[in-house]
Amino acid sequence: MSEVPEYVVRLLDGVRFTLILTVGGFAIGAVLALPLAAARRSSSRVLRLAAIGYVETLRGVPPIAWLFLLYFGLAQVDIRLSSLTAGVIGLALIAAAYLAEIYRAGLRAVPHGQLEAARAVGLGSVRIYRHVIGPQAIVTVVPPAAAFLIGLLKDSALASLIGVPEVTGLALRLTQQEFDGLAIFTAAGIIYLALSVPLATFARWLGTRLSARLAFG
Amino acid sequence: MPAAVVRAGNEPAQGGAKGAPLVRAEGLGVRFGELDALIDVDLEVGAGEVVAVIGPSGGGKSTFLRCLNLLEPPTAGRVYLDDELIVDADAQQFPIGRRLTALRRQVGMVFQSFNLFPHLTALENVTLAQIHALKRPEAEAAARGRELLARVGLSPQADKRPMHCSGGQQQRIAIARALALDPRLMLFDEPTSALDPELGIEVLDVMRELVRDGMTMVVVTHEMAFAAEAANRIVFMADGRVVESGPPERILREPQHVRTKRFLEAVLQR
Repeated sequence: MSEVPEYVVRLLDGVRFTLILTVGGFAIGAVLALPLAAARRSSSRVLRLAAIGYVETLRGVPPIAWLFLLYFGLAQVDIRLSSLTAGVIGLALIAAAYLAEIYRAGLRAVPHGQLEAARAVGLGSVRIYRHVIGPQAIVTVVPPAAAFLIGLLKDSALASLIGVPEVTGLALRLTQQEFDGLAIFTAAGIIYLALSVPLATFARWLGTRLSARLAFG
Repeated sequence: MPAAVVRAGNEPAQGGAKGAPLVRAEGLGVRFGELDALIDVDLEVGAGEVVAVIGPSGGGKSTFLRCLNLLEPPTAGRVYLDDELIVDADAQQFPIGRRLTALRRQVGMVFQSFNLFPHLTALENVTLAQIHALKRPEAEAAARGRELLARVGLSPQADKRPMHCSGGQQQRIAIARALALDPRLMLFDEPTSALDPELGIEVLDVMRELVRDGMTMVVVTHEMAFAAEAANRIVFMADGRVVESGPPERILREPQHVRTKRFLEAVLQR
């Protein structure tokens, strides 16, 4: 291992935190976004407005402000989250808002006749979404959701500002320990690329496969 | 003979009803905001009866059909199935949840635009509701599905997606999908209007076969030849109302209302 510079080894140590923030935030957000998207399409005005309120509030404030609020703000009322927990929760709440809108667009892309046909054969709402609307909506959802996931990977760097030792946070620390800043941040950049390029490739493959399955392409 | 004329205009079910009413609508109305799509419609359909609903577009035919399987909640009137009150719009009573889905399963619906599930094969389209709504075991559902596809002449298409089938084939798959729930009533909403005439024939043939098998059907259609030969009764609707109804030969040959005459002249002179 003598060929690999020490700062690279130490940076790689942060990859798992970057992944926990990104994957954790995305996965929790993807689940939270389901009831949000349902509320957004609800016939109840109160639910609709509540969902719109949530989405606009979360999207309208910089992500870093949410992370500070969760980490420093909540500590003042004696809710002390670890920096990693605050990071994951923060990114999850933000992801839920964006993904809810992405789901909504996907659901809207499914023709109304599909809903009617599914109702006419006596399927209940849950089964309609699971077997009829969902599988068709997902084709529209995958590309923007994948783009958002890649964005989230990069946004996870913000968690460095509340002390999570993920890739960017470690890079900052290393430059303070008299390592060469140019080399370190170049290495950090390459690490992010090594994570995002396969992700983008996979998303493209999945998108093509799904549209082929639906015979839309 | 004024009495005869009155009688002729007032006995819609005469000569048509073969049994007790399966479905009955009373004073049915649907209002979309300021627009009355359906006004005070009364109609009985007996078991085994075939009713053709004709009339100009926007006259309320589709809306009426959609009320019968509860896709459109009426804003006035009542619907009975087997003399059981299932919708009472005047009392704001609508079935929900399990009761709603259970009622819909008794009524099959065929749409103008087919509305097949594009991500599923023909066979899967026919088995989906059997498995998830009727809880039939998969093997049994598949067997029934293949039997129905064979009945509509589409065994070779069983594993194809709708996109790879012709319009006429798609509509026949849609009929098989509706039949898979063993419905007691089949509703057809202009089933051939989106098809080339040649493809429409194969769909009409399947429908004629259902008539022969004694299926109770309400068919919204512009196919006058089909209505004339297959229906026990024709209902003419315009401007959201039933203008007149009666046996096909009378409605088509001796319409009583000017509105009906005008419509039939326009249709038959093509």
